[in-house]
Amino acid sequence: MNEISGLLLVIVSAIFVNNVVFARFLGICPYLGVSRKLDTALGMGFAVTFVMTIATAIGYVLHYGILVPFKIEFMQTIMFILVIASLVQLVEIVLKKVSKSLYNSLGIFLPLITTNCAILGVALIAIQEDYSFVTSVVFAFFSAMGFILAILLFAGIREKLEEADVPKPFKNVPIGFISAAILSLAFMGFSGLVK
Amino acid sequence: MRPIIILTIVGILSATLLAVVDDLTREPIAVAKEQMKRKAIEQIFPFVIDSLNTVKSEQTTFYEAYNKENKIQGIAVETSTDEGYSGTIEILLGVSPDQKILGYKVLFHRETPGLGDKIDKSKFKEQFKGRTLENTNWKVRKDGGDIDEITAATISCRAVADAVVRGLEDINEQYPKSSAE
Amino acid sequence: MNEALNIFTRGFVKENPVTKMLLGLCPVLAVTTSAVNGLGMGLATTFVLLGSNVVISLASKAIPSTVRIPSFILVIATFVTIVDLLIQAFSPELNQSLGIFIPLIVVNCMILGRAEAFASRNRLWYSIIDAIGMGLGFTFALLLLSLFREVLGSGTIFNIPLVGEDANTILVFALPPGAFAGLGLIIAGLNSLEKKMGGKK
Repeated sequence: MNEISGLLLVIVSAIFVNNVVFARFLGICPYLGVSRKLDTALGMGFAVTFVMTIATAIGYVLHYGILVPFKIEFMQTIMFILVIASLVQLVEIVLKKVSKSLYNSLGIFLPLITTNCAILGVALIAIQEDYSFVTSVVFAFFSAMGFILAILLFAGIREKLEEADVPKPFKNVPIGFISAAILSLAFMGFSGLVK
Repeated sequence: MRPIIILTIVGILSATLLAVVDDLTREPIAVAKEQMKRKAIEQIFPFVIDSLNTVKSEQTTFYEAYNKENKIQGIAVETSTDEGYSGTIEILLGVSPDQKILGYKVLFHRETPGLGDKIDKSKFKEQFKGRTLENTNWKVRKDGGDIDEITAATISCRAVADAVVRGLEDINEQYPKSSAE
Repeated sequence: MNEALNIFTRGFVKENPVTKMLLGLCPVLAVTTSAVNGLGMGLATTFVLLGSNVVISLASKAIPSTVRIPSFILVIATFVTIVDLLIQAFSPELNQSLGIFIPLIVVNCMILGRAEAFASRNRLWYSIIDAIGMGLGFTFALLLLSLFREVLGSGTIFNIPLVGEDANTILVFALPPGAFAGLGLIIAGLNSLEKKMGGKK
């Protein structure tokens, strides 16, 4: 019972309280880049979810199976980024073979994911917080859900912003940041919800 | 084949380079960590520390501070609580040899900036000076105790009181009172 | 020489990685709560950029195109780890406040971007100038935003208090929303400044 409520807290925390985009500032580039349209935002979101969850799981195994026993924790950064880069390649190859339609819709996002700092960030945070294997995987999956929530919200706002009469110097990017600030302010209301 | 060989060479080169750098920085990193601890301890004690002795118990770590005459001047202890508004608060607590509080320093917290983070401001910390496990009702005023809480940050203040009590108890266990009397 | 000067200066304004290209924004938003953090992150990133640009410019001909990206990432990750270890050894305070964002320099898209778009196609000398220009441009943007946030949010400048301990500061600028709003305002400010200067020509 205790474990389940612990996991529940991790889930709420990952989606709302410590949202990857609004509280941890991870994955800002794709957040601004692909959130112009709702459906591309969703595609990116699913690709991120997949890679983030698996990368965190593999990273966890490698960290505690190889880096810690051999006392080479300094290789952590290199190892994790290589895991992510090869995972992305693998996913690309498998998708191409298995489902052409899924590849066509997700394919363009895959190379972008390697340099999505949310993936590496979440994998590193799971290690830093001393999460167990199950908690790490749950944390990674729901952090990705938090990411999807953020880009969906933002995509919706952006579609409205296109028609808004924005002062010239604020057009496009600056007004995007201002909206993100207001969203982030709203997300701060969740703080204290989870200990 | 060539790409794989080249990638392997790049990998070996970078791993070797990192092993060397890691070897060179291992000691400075340990020293730097030690110095940071020492700086924190110096901040909570109102006297000059000549030497520090680290004592590790099962739950926590104690630091005995000695003066030039090798007389113990104070004891610091690492203590923490999970009762904060946003989780864990870690505190370094310093007491005199007769176990009166000299001061504390918040090492880690995630309390709300502007409200809960005032637990690390001198205005709030001041009231802990001279308190002991016995002479104080370790609850905030709202709960009928002696600790003045910060408006809108009662939970954070309760948590600090909780951590401080834990620290005092740890010290009392490690250094039974009779020896000081 | 003119060419070199051009490569050097464009990183500051015309192609500033932060305000113009919108690259590497995560650390820009995350660590700019104080000027010391902003400066530290900027210089650490500049170091990595310089190291990776030098190595990649020298070695790019030997690296076949099929493994180009993985090799670049390896080189960048190596320099990031070196910086990480050096910061841990010589500035533990900075290490504590920058935290996870030091290893995350690896995925700063600006660095891979420069390696791919510039260093692998240009001579060593130009690659060095490009790295320093872009790195300092990045640092400049970080410093600008962190000064803005530190002064308004914490009432200090380079950790030196400007107001008393009890004074109320505009806290929101020290918090996540302030990072987004601050960057938005700065980019808007630079936009209108540029327009005014352009109009005079």
